Amino acid sequence: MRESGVNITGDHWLGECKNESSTIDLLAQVPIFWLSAKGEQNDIIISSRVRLARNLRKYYFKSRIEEKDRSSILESVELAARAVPELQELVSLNMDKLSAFEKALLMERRLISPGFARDHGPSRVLIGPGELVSLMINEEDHLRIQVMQPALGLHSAWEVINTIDDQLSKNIDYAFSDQYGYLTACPTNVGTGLRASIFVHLPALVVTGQIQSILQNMGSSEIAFRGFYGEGTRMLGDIYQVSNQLTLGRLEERIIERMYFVALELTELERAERLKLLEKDSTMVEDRISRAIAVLQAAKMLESKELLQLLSDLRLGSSLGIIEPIDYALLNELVVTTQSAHLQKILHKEMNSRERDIARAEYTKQRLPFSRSMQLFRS
Amino acid sequence: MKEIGIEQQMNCEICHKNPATKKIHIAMQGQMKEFNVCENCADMHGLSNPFAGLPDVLGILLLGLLAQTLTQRETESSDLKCQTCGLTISQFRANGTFGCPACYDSFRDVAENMLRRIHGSTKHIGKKPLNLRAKPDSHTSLSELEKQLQQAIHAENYERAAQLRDLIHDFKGQ
Repeated sequence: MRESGVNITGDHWLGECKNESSTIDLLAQVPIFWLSAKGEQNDIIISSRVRLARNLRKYYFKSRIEEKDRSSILESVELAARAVPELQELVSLNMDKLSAFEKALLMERRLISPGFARDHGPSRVLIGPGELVSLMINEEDHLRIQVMQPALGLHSAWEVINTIDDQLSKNIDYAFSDQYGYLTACPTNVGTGLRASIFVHLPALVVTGQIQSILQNMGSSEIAFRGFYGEGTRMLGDIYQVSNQLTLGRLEERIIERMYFVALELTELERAERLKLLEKDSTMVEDRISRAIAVLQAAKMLESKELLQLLSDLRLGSSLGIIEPIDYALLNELVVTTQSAHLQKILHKEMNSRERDIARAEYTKQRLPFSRSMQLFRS
Repeated sequence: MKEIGIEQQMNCEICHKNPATKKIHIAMQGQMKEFNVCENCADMHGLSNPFAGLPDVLGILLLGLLAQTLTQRETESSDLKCQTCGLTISQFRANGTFGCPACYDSFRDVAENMLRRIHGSTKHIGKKPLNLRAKPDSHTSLSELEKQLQQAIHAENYERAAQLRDLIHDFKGQ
């Protein structure tokens, strides 16, 4: 086991962790709260996320900063974070002590961004109980605070992150100007530094192609649609990440409110499209869902992309009442735990791509309640 | 003085209307300077064929003006530098990120244009770090602040509303 330079003091939600690897081991075993499907619109909205971009006044931004200053930032932010009452049980992971595999695991749990995983030099992620809060130190900005919530939980995510941010500002001298607000490395984030996102499941809008005009209409205004893992990634399993684009000249509460209504609008459009699909050709819909069940029951190998599509079909079937309801928390969890790094962690072995596809098919089969609920009601 | 073909489409630096079709190189203060002009302006001001005769009076005048704009352009592209971190404006343009918090002031004009284009605004109206917030006046009651907040929202004065919201937040936290 590698030795860690970071001490994780006291008892916390993961128990006593000696180093980065043992923390990751424990982390991979605990349920992720934001996948618990507890909350509003939980059949269509998987989770909500709010992040704030912050920088420290006396340091250069990422592109010009020296390594020793990056190290100082790690220490001062962690110190400030540990003084926040809401962040008492943080675990701390030094990125340069993690293997590529461990970074992939954190990325699959959405605790770190792909760019942060690729980066070199002193950087650290602090993770709060239930993985609701994570703080990336030395990402594109000195500090990225993220709060995740299950389902449509934008307001509560904002409340939590607002409090944490206020508390942190007692001990961190933020780069802030009256004119431009919180100063960020990239001018696209300046002002509030706030990005509010929802992860939303839109199978009917995708299958009818309606999503294209929605992307055009909403995409051209203040709303951005991204793929499964954020910027520049593909849409998988009919899941989109939808966020606000603009951060300056707006009140935080109004950005949250706006995204909340965008979320409601998308769920309404999706529901209407589902009903239209059923009215127009219910056999087609039922066919798609029963095929998904058949493949999930019979497949010996499943690629991640294919599985995400099958899970999407199951979710749709459950939501439409075509099959008995399946726990959305389970479907959400499988989206994460059937990713490559998680699969290898859960099964305790390194696997090549072929072995993973076999393991993925087997693992999914074990987890899904085929015998009980996967019968088409109307077949 | 010589002329060569133009690879990139841009407008004439004299009339600013026609596409520039000629590059003209002129030695000035010991340095070769390059201008992009259209056929029409080049002909009109005797810049098209240096061997046919000297540029006319207006041509010379224009070259002087051009030299001025060129100096400005150079200042912007290479000399404009953040005094704090040393980032140049061309480095910023190349990768889209600033070098330090002070860059926002060092490149104020460029930053404001950019912010207006991206966000449609150049003024933050959201929250402030705790230490920069105005302290609630001990004589003002919470209900008075809340009343003012409602008025500010009604009047769509969001900047004032933000201040009041922070005050109320602090008031409740006391």
